Amino acid sequence: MNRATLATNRIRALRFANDEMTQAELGRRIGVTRQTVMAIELGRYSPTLDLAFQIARAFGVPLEEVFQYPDETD
Amino acid sequence: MTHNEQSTWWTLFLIPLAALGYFAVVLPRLADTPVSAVSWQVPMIVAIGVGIVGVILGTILSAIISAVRTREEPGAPDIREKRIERYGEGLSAIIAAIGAAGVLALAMLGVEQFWIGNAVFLLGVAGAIVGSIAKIRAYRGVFRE
Repeated sequence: MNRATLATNRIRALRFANDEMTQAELGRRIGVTRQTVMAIELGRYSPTLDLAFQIARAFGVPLEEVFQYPDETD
Repeated sequence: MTHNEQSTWWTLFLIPLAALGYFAVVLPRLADTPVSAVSWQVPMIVAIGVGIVGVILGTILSAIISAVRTREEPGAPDIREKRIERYGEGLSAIIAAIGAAGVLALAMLGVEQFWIGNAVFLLGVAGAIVGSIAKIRAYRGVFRE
């Protein structure tokens, strides 16, 4: 199935680096369901800018450490 | 599966079932009765009522089941779910709007009320089915607006 976005993310790695935080726990912290966290993590859904900032804040890192976007030359 | 997705599955099951029930009652009447004399109003009201009440009850039940299963208060739909809901409802509205033009044409041509009423009913059913399928695809796969 096609990816929703070219953006990639490090949510899975960041969850494990943060005491193996579960998707449900991350969802609880940012006010979304576990299914939404999973969809974002798998690149099936592009979060809103607000939600992206909330995810970064939940991990205590800048936005660009969570989400990356390939250069046009890539 | 979130309770919103469960409700969508339930809608996708119930609405076609109610419509099939309606047509199973009304269509045989066409065989031995002129269209203008076929009684279709009461069965349609019953089918619409069953559909609306059934969807509401199913939504409440799925919220309770979800709350019991996750041991959490069912919260408001999250941002992704709201966007998926809007997307599905938008598709249903497009079908209704396009269909309304067809119904208007039927009315202008002066066809029997039976056909006009049933065309509107079918449009509602088609809109609900297409909207539900679109929502389930969005819930389970890639969601792009």
